[in-house]
Amino acid sequence: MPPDSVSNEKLESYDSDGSEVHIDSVEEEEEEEDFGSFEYSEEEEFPIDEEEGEELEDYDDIISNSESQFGDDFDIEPSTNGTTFTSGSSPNNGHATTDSIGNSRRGDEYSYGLTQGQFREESTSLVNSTPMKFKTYTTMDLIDKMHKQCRKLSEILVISQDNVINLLQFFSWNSERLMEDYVTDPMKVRKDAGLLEDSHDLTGVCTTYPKTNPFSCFICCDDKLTTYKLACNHEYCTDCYGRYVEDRLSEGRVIKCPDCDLTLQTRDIDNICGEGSSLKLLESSMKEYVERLRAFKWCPAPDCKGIVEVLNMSEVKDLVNEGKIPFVRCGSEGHQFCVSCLFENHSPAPCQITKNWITKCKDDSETVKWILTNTQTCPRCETSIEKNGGCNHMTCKKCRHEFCWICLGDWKLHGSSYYNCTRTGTKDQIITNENKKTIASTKESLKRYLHFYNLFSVHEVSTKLDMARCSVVQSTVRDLQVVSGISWIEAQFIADSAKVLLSGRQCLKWSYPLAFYCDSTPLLNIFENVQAELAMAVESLSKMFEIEDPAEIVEKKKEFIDDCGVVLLRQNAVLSCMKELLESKTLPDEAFILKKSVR
Amino acid sequence: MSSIKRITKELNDLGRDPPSSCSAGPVGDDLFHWQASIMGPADSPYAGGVFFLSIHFPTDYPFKAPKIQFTTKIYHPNINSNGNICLDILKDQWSPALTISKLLLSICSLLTDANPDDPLVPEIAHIYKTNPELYQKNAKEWTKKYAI
Repeated sequence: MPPDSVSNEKLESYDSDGSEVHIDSVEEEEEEEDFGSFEYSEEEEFPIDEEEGEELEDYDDIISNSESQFGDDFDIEPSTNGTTFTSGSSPNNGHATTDSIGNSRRGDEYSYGLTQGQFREESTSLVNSTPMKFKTYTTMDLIDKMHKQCRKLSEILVISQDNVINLLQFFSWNSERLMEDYVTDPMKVRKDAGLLEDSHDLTGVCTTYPKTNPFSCFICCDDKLTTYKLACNHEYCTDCYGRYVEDRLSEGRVIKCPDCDLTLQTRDIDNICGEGSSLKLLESSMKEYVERLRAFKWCPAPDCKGIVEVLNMSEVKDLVNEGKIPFVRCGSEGHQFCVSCLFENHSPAPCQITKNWITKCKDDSETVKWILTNTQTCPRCETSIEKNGGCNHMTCKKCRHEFCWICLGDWKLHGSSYYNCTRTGTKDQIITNENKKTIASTKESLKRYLHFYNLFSVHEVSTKLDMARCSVVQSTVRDLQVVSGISWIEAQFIADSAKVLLSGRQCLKWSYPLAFYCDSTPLLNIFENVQAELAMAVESLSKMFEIEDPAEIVEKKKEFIDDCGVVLLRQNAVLSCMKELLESKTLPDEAFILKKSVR
Repeated sequence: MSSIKRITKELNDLGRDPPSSCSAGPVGDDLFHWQASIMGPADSPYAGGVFFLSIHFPTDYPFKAPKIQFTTKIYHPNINSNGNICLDILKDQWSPALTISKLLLSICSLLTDANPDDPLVPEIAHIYKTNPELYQKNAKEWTKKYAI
């Protein structure tokens, strides 16, 4: 089935009755079967339920009201407003993206074919993270949505769309308040927002002066030939006017005449600063627009402009209380994030632990800063070393000493038999129930915290490095595909391995905060052992990505797949052990303080 | 540089048509650093005082607002002990169509009508709202002490 039709039908199901919903659910089931043995939590098996239909009423309203005239000004189909899906219903649909003109398509990362049996990273990472029902939006989608809202209001209030945009910007996109105020006293609202009192919206005038009689601009005090003025007759040269408007485009508010309260219309802004400038203003006012909508969340990844609408927002609180992680995946780059914490998907650590951990990290960061800088010294020659590769097996460039980045111990002692430096207190003190009481002193607990913080941050850094490395490897393999004619499916293992590596890293990283908050019990010891094994598997896979030669990478395909299998296996082990740990209630109250205060 | 041209023009305009109760001009040779003075408005507790202000023009003036500070101590809800003034047109409401002369007049009217709902010095704002007589008395005292 072509991807476009999938998303179109799914969207249709929002503004229609049960029949299409049924079709939708059949589709989902087919997909589930395709990908074999996924473990689903109950919530995701039915795509749309009645409760959700109610939540969506407002939205339906907007769509149905605006559809009729949709396309008059904008040549875009009504069904292109975002892509709807339930994450996790297939390993790939979270990657469906929406391109700049809003047409939905599936991303490049669609993975199926010969390796599907082995790559089930989605299913493993879902042990306690619960995918939400959501729609992804790009900024363009939201601009369409904003335009739709403007069209709707413009019909209701019988004013031009340009005026509505100005009014909404003036009212910080609070359309209810605008409607209320406008119906009560339209003249006052227009005056406050700087619109002309009659409903005519006069565009400003651009004038060209002869060289013999130039215009003296008040702002720059130079003689200029082209000017712009609004109906208020306050005239300035286009250079100064342009700079004035340009400075304010990023503020997302109405722009007024430099000398009075008259508001510049969309067309004025385009006339002064060039076509498309008014769109910039609209984009910058989107921040306020999104914040007004409770179910809309910006992707928290740095520089990511993806926006996600959570369709079952009402369930978030319950899921969090159950220790599950309500996560979504943004459309633009597929970042997974938790809609409760607005933080990356922190499976296996539950939301409360994550929140506590992050606050703790922030509070202690000043102390930690000087203890943990970006560099470490080589244990033999004391050269400062900055880690710039994925794996923790370091070789000092100066003295060729091989050591472990985490414990700074000799790598040979780690060997291949047992990678055990992730265990608490391997150096001298094993934390047991008895001596836990004795290490209550702040110094010891700081030491313990630093140990976990160190592990946590090492893997955080490694994740970034892995990401960069994976994309490099993927692009070299892509080049190789072109040259040597290896089929796309055959080269998919690289993309799949990258996913496994990153999810393994993430699982490992977030297992440390969990371990930090756990009381020392035999179960924790088991957990730390499993953790250490996962760390070893992840490091081994990470090392595979350091291979430079693309031909060798393709040659080592089997090793990649084997390593991935190991990572997945051990990740599963960590997750199930974690589940036991959470259920055994060995977690001290400290970890759940936030939970209590929320209630 | 257009800012020099503009500042020069404003200086000439001030010389030709000086606003009542205010004056302003450069300190030494630096055209970007001015000193201004404001006479305390007659219908305010600041009457009789002369308040000095320093003005610094940014290099991208008039697209960015000038920095204006009181150098004379003044008892006012919107002016703090460092002389900083809380006035919208000095911040986000600045427009290149405004001038130093207009700014000084705005500051004059701020002296007459303070804005206690958006205070820079909450203590003074509280007195202004709850005990206007005490406010008048304090402002008069400060004026006598520092501005006469």
